[in-house]
Amino acid sequence: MSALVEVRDVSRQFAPRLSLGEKIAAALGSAIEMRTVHALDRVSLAIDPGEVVGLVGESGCGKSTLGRVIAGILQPTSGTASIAGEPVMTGGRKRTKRVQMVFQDPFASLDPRMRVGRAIAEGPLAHGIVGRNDAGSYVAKWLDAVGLDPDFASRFPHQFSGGQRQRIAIARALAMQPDVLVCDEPVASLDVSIQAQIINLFLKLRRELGLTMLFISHDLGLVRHIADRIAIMYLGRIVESGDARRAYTNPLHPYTRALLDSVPKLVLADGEIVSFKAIHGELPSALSPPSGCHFHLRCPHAVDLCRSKVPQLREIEAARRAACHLAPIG
Amino acid sequence: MSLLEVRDLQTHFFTRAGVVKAVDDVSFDVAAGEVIGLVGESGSGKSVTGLSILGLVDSPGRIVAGSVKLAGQELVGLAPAKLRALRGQRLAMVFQDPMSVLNPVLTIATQMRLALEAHGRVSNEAARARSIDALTAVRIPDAAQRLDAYPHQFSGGMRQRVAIAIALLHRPALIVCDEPTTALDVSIQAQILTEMRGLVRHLGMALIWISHDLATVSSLASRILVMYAGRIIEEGPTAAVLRSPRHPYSRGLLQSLPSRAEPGQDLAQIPGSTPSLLRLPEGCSFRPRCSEKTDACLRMPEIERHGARAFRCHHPHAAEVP
Repeated sequence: MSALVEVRDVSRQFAPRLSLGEKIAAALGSAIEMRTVHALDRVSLAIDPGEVVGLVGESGCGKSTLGRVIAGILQPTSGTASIAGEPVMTGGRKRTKRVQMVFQDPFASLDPRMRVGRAIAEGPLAHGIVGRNDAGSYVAKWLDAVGLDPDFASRFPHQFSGGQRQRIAIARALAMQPDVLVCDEPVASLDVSIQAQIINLFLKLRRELGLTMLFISHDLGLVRHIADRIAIMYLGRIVESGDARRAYTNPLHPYTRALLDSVPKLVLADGEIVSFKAIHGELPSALSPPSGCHFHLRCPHAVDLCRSKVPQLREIEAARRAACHLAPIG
Repeated sequence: MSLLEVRDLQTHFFTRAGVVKAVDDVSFDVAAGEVIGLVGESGSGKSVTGLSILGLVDSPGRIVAGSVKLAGQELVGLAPAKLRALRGQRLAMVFQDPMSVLNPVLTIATQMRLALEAHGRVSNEAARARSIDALTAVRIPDAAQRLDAYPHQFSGGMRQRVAIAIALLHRPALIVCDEPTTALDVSIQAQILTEMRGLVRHLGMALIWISHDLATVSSLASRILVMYAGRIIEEGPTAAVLRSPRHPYSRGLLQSLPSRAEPGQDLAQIPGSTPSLLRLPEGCSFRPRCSEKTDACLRMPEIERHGARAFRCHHPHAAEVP
């Protein structure tokens, strides 16, 4: 089966805009320190049709940047992202209707002055997916699909709770009939009891529509629940990818293991004290990432090779890959 | 006698839209050196409970009834100057966002010296030495050098450590931590949880850990209080409550966790959403979302105590068989 989403060698840097003074100084030949952030460093990822891939990592690892590149919101500095063989962006513009995105904050992603029905119909009308006469019933159909009353179309976003707004944002993305949905922390801003409702909605939509999804989250428990395959990022690179369940039971990369050890678990035995094997140190700055393997400063297994040579993502066991010189670690 | 005794606490906010009963009829004790977890969703009143203990509720909010006693001393209605003398000294608070506590234009050394001077005369040398001790206790590397840095020169996790170090300066008897690790990455959260556990043990402080995350609380607290719509609805030893919750809300919350389900299967979900505190349903606030509701629930249930466990429900789940 050929992949539906294909990301090949994508890098993305963010260079700060120079002030006028700095531009003049640079023109006069003085060395300006370029504080370039390397958000993505030669990332490759493929998603099969109907597959849900969980993209996990800590803040600043580049997971949202990768999501935005796939959704056609950001142009990669180098490399390509394509869906069904077509590039997502050409000439700096998004060219495909096949991908839509759901954002973390449903308070920011909906226009407060636009009625919900219009917000949902806006894209489909502009792209001729639905005619003006059928827009009402089309909106009703999608509101119903996400578990909302079709009468809500005439209301404004402020009349809804966070969970309901996220449903509206999902309906808005789905109304474009995308093949691929990129979800960036879609439940992180919701209460625990509401999170379960939205996760169930994603599971239902996936069953009914056969959606292909990239599910971005920092919550390992959530991703394990929803994803078939998982990709773990650290400082702009994918360090491990493969079957989600096996990544949890038998992580290949030391970072994956450390991340799993950091997650607090429910303590159910009286007097039990769980110990965290906390990763020592902090995430290094993406302005000046460490040489070789980005994780070597915090890795308990690091050897000289890890400091000098960048490990490539390679197959360690069937359909599971890790970017570690020493993988699989015992 | 308990270190902290909260009795029938009611904190209301008088807004234009009406009276928001953020905390209603809340009672609990904290023993010296005890770690309590206060859990609930947004709007459950857990943060306002923490603020009420320290007397930090601002207008239009007000403690309208009840009592908060620290080592026998009544804090509700205490003169602001007297309360200020206690805050920082006997009671301290750590917030979710450390930048809401740290002044961006002062060095850490200056801010820590000010916190020390607020409660008595202290020489510059002594202030520095005590500050370095506090920063070392929260594992800030090179504390002596880092002391002269500004908040923006620290990462998020390090800033939260500085905020905790400032709270520790006077060795308070009680620290209230309001979602202190929510904004941090899991690896940093694990470091801070490990350190807090060590600090509580070594310094013998009592801790109220406010969080929406049951797993975090369970790794730290010996006793748990679950809040819903301004009230404590369940209380007991943490592991026992998580193993066999008696209140349908606590049970629903636990069952909705992805770790409790098979991957890919639907999660157990609590229907509906939390009620507006302006328009609470009649009787039990959880009634509209509850699967066990009957007509009896139109009357607010009293809190029922059975040994160390307590709950506020007419139709509790069966007790654990020992």
